[in-house]
Amino acid sequence: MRRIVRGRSGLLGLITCAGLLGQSAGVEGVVSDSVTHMPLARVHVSLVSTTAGTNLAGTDDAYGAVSDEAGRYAIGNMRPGTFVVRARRAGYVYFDPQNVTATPTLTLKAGEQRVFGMAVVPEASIAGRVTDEFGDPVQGVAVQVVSAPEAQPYGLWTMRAETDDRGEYRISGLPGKFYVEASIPPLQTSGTPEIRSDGSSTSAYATTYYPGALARERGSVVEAVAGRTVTGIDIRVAHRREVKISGTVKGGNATARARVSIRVIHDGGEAEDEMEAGADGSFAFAGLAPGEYRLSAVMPSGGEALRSPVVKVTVENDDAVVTLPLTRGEVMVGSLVVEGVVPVTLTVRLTPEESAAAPVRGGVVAADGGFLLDGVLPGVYRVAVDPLPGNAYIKSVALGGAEVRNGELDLSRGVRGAGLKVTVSGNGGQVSGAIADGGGRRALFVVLTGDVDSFATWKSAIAADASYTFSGIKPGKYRLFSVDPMLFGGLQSYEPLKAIAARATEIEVKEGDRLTRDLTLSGRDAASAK
Amino acid sequence: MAQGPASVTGVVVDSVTGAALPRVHVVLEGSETGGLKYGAMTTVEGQFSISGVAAGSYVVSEERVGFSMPAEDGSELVVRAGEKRDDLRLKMLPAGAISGRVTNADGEAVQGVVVVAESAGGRIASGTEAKTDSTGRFRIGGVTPGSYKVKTTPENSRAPAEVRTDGAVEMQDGVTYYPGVESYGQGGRVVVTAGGEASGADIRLTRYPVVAVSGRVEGAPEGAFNPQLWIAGDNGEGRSTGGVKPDGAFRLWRLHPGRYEIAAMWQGPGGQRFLSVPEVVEVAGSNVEGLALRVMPPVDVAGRVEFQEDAARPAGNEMARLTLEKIGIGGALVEVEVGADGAFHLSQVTAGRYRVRPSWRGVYVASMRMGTVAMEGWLLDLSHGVGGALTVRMSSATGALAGTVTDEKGPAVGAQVLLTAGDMGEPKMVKAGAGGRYSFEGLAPGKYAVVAVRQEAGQGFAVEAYEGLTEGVEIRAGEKVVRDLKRVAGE
Repeated sequence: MRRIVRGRSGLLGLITCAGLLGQSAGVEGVVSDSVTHMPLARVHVSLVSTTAGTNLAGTDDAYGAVSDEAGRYAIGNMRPGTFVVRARRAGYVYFDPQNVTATPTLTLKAGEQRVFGMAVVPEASIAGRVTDEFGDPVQGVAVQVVSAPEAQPYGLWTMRAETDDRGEYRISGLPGKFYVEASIPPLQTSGTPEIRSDGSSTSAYATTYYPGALARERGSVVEAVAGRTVTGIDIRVAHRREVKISGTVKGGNATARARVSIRVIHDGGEAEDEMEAGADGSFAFAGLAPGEYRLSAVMPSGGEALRSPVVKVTVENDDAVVTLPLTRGEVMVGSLVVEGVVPVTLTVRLTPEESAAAPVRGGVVAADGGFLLDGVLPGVYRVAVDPLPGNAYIKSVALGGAEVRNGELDLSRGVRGAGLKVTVSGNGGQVSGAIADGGGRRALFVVLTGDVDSFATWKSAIAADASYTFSGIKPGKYRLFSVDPMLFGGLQSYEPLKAIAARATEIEVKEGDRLTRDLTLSGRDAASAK
Repeated sequence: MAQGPASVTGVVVDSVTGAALPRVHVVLEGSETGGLKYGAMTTVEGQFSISGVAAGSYVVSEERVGFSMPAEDGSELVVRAGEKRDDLRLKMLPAGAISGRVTNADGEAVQGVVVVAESAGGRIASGTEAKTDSTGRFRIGGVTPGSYKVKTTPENSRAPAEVRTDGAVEMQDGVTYYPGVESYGQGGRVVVTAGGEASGADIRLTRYPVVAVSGRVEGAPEGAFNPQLWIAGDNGEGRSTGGVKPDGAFRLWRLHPGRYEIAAMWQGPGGQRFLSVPEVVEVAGSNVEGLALRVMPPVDVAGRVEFQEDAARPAGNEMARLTLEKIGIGGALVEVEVGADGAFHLSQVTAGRYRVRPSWRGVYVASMRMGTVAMEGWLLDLSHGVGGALTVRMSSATGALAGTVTDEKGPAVGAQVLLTAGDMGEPKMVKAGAGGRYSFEGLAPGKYAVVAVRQEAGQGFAVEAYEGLTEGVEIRAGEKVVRDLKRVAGE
């Protein structure tokens, strides 16, 4: 038996008699143009469960409707839950004006009928042409916007396009104030170098900011306005200065060849290149843009390879020459002191700060607390102890008798015979609790920070069922908070959470504490337009 | 007799107007391995000059934004010591463009659709990639003059099909060829002339109901976590995605119609990966349900290599190894040492189908046997467990194929010769060297297809693109076949 029910809010729904009456939720509202404030027809509104397509328990419900001539849409007969909200129509973008970087979400409880209006923004566009110093078009350059410092972060819809055969580009997205960047990825050193005898240059182009600046701060800010196209944003790229980093790999054996890697971190990510050194250990990377590079070498040699430490080189105007010394690494002796009871065999690990650096071997702690680390190359490391059961934590680390601050072990000049002393206490603190408005089962992020500015002291836990536990907490003061990662467009790093961390509740954890703290989510539903 | 370095000078002109072209990048690249590369830029009068050239065989090429090299270019230039070549007259074709408007089945403009021009069998694209703007319009620029089909790929979310309150079924825009058909074969041709724009390439997108592939992932090993689904389509679509619920149920939405291979992968606590046996699924107009993805425990295989002839044994200083290359999803490579007596032992190999290859030269897998079951020469199917000891029979009676590649101008130095056979997976490719000569050695006997082409750097070798243009050649055990080829220019 089916009944058609017309509710007070004008909601039209088909409801079965099977008792869904009390359960079903609904959303309705008017979609309007944020500039003209007129209602917009043919906007495709969709609500998709946040657990859809994920490995988390929860539904993959999705609902949709298309707004009518009066801009009105209505979705009924919904199961309660949290949903990602999208409003799509060619030429428009939808975002939550109170939180530009977030994916707009909406949480509906059983039986809730929500009125949710949306103001969609006519897309802003920027168009122009990229040319070189002769006025010739440059094809295949990626043009993108970077938000100008005084403006709001530009959110999830990054404007980006490649120039065509006329050097032309057109990018569309959120309104705002931007620098426009014609970006050329670094490390495009091609294989065989080209020999020129006519005096022409082989150097590549440099990343340039409209209208033709090499440094972002010297570029001109462009204002992209909703519903309009700013044209004539032409960028003149210049050939970049090219530098060479060359050098020698020392200390290997004559029969093998070393492999030299070069890495550079730039705005778009990381770039890497590799080459084989000559029989005499010589190598050269030419055609590099000014920047900070990291070089290292490795040579296979029987069992364990010989490696060099990671060498950082900053090149600006002049070529650089480096030496990469291969070593087996040094041996470091240490002792582990345990306070309290830790009934398992522990291993001490040194994690290098440079991700490309070689791993350190050994570290298994003997019955008398002694351990040996092998293959330690010059560099900076963090100390970890594995496993740390129950509420054990690293209480202190000392190198050659001196206390190590912030957990950073500075071995950049080598071990030089210094011994390592690690103290582990079995009596750390524990904090656990529930997230009050966890609202069903979805992935929530809980963070415990020591020093807000040092991400190395942050700990995080994923609360799949709206509860969390942190164990093995070193006594001290911490800030504790919980967020829904969907509100941040999925978290790639801790950076967007810094502001929330600074405002979060402070708790003090003492030795042996077992604390319970229930949390409410920082962050909220997307804002509804009037 | 002249000695010392040579020089090469000449002029580059627009093939349509005959006008001199300034700022063209001319490259002389040595055609032998280790050959040098020279470059120059043309002046305002279109002239270029390269001096200090070492004697040798080179390929000449030229590039400038907005222009293409004519198909017959890129031929061999032999430079003798002390020679002064001043007769080079190179032509460039002004590139053209394709533009139009994309609408959906309701006639509404569609934004964000990727549009490409395809040629020569449907897989080689030319020109810049374009995306439709908010009015549905696109322009593909820098297109080498020729005849193309235009393909659109609409943006696709992975979201589940929406339940619509008004009862409508959610439809999805499909991959469509100009003017509005599903496949390359049915697509209409768009002709681009030198410097011309083929406008009006309007496309009406095809549409079909959103369907799901659902099922259950089973047999996850103890301690395994983070299941991912790997999907590889015959249409080239490939991705990995989450979406496996804690009870193992999954539902994949919005796959375009076609044939797919799907597998589940888990991570183990020690960083290992567990892969289920891949299943093949046909996605058409309706939901596919009940797909079971089961992990098979890894298997141990004891085996022995038999040598059909003494010459099939590895030489004293050669590594004797077998490489098993997994076919399909989760491409893994397993290597195992073969002892002096031919014995080998594979331990903990993921269930699946593998291509077996020897590491030493001059042999091929003539036949294999697992227990009492005989198998095709190279394909080892471990997806249903191990039926007994494995015997791999190697033979040294390989064949060879060699010859000369020519085009209208003579020897086609630098042409790429592609060789494929059903069992080989990736096509083998060699470049024609001095005099246009090429050669393939160590070939297993069988039927092959061969074609000589010239492709731009960076284009993949999609052999399907040359369907109808390849020649068949049969290689028999121990035979060397000589076959001269004419380089094809594509469509």
